[in-house]
Amino acid sequence: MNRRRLVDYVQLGFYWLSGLSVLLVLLAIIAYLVWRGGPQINLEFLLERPRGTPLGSAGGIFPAIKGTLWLVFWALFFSVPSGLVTAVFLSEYGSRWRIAGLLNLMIQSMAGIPSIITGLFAYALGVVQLGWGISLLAGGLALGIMIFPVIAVSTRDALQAVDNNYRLLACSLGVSELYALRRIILPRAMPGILAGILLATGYAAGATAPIMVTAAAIISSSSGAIFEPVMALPYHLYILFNEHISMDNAYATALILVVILLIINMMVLWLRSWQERIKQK
Amino acid sequence: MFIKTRDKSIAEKLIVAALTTSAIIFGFMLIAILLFMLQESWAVWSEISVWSFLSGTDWRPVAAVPQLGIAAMIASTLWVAGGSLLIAAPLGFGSAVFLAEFAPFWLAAVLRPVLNILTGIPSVVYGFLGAAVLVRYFESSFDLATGESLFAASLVLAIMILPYIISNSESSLRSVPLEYRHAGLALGVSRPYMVWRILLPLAGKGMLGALVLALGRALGETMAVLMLAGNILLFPSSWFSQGEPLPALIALELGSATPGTLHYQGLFAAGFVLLLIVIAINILIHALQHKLKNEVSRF
Amino acid sequence: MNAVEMSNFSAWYGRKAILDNISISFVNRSITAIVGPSGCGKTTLLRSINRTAEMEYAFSCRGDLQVFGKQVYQIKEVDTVRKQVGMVYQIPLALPLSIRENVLFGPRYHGIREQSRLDYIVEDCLRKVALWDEVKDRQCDAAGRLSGGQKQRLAMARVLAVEPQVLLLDEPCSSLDPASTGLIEELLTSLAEDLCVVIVTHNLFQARRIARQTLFMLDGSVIETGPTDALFSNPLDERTRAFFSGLIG
Repeated sequence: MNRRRLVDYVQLGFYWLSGLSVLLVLLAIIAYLVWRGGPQINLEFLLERPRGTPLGSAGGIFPAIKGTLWLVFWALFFSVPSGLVTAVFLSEYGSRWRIAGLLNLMIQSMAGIPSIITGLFAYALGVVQLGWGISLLAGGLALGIMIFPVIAVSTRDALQAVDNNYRLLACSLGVSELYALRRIILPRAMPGILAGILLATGYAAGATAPIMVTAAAIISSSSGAIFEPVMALPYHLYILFNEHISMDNAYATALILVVILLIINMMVLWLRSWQERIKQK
Repeated sequence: MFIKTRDKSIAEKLIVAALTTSAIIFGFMLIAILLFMLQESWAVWSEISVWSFLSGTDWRPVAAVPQLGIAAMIASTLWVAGGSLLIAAPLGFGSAVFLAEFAPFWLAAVLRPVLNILTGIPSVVYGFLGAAVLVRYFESSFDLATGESLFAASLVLAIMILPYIISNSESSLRSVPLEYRHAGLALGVSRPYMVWRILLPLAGKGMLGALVLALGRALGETMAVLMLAGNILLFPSSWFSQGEPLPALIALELGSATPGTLHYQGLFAAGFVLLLIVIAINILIHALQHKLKNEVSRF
Repeated sequence: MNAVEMSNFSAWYGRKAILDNISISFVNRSITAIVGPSGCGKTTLLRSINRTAEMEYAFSCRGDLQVFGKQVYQIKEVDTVRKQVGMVYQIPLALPLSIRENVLFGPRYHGIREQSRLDYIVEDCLRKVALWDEVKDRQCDAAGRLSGGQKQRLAMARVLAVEPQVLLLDEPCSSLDPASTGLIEELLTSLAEDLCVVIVTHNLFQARRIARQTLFMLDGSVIETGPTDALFSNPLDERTRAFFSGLIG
């Protein structure tokens, strides 16, 4: 009996420890980044372009922030319309088509494609075959392909979570599905859809591998011209560290990236709780 | 009649038709990507045999007599990913059980968002921290020339895949009907005993699925392995040697490979192999989920 | 004249037969009640008439179903049928819009734009369901805040706004208190002056109170049908008698 109790306590201790370790990892990451990177961050760091020799050892990261924003914009441009259309089809019309099951499987599988592969694909298609060169547009395409399944799946799930009785009610009044979709279903699912898009935005902003081969430059003004390479925060971090340019600035850049992602995640959580509240009404 | 039925306008029919076609086109993008990669790498498959590409240990694409073999990279990929599972699985399952069974309500409410945030942190940040902290630590405390190794990459990858393992395992633990718990506890056994003997066996397959999903993530991860594995094109002799997994190879060499050369095509062939592995894993998960659903309904 | 006419009508979900060779008719300008144990196909029968049953997976049907002399399953535009045959469901559910927009949901789709006419429809339909006086000052409030009984009356107003000729109700009072139930029964009686009303109910007293005709269903078949009083006082079939005395269902 006593041995049994001991085994219980050991198990219980292990469960608690592993649960708390997760919390500890996050706190450690954030605390360490704040400690090492925090002192470098000021307005100048955010709003200046990189300076010093080697370039980036002084000055700021403004072009990288700007470049990341441009990349995210083009990624959303490529993925939001296509993702929404696919999701609406899968959730509202798909049940009548045999093909929907296959489509679901393919989009699920697409979500598992390694990000370097989407970069490889966008490189061959955009950079080489279409002749865009290493460019903002090619990077946007790579990121767009990467986040397309995220948006499609989360939108599909948000639409399917809407009470089916609304569809039944609306159709019983003799209105078309499209009208019911526009007036009832879409507004109902909107927070969930926005949460998915925001989550995808976060992935796009933090992804390095796809843009490393398609869009990123060590130094660029990131003017937003679509056939020019751009700087980007994650790639800038990689370069600062890998080329031994400046550890301090690398920590600061990493901290900025994590803070941006934290904010995005908080907004996603908030949107999801909003969606829950709507559902209960 | 006072209100006439509106005819479905042509515009509306067009919209639905356009919706359907474009959804199908977008959905089949996966096939397009696969075919495209196959086409770009075709020269490799026709000039070098598939087997010698997969089993060759020499990667000298720009030599006078080019050698294309990715066995070393495949081995590195498997070492890194498999190793990360080895580290993450116990911790992940433990946390999942903690969240599903033992965590006080408020703590679970804190931990779940923490998992989301951990998945949201970019891989380059994990890689950077791993390289700047872990690798330095290995170097100084074990007196190594370099702390970069497959093991270091596994360790960081383990942290990255941990949230996926936890949240998917937790949901499969939660999907075990409450009656089993009550039935177990009603016999007067302790909660950990009930978890060990009833819950874990019942949720086991779902937790295995979570592990496979995490494997898919780990295999394709680029930045962390690029910054930690050491990038040496040798066949790894142990977990603690250096290596260059497939994603790192592609990321490092794509920029310098001239389109149309065997080097370029070799990289696409390597990408194609990686893609096939990951897709196979995804289909496996899909089948597993399907089977699980059937089994649960049989109970 | 008969509003709805079914002969040899059968329906399936997948391979499972739900309705088996049904031949009945519903009289215009009167209330018909359908009673029977749970799962006997009452709801599917109603949903076959306004063609919402086909929204469910793997629905199929065969036979003859006419609404005012038109073959329902030969009409190409489903919307026409659904507009002509309105339906109120068991769960009181308001569309997530304002009270006013709930009523106007159908009319707006069917192309009515003039403000005066929209105003007229809202007032007219809400009056018909005796909701106007309760909500006229808060038409733009979210409909979700109404009580169950009010929601169910709003559902009726929403259906009336597209001017159906047949009104189907699937246990509309099953989740309502006696007062709301009484109000809805009153409304149905007055609506039956213009419409064919068909109500599925579990409450035999309700059938007795309001229906002119009653129809008893069991396992997808119509067992017996006739004037309500006759059916209740002197059922011909053994199974009907058993159901009324509480032995089935």
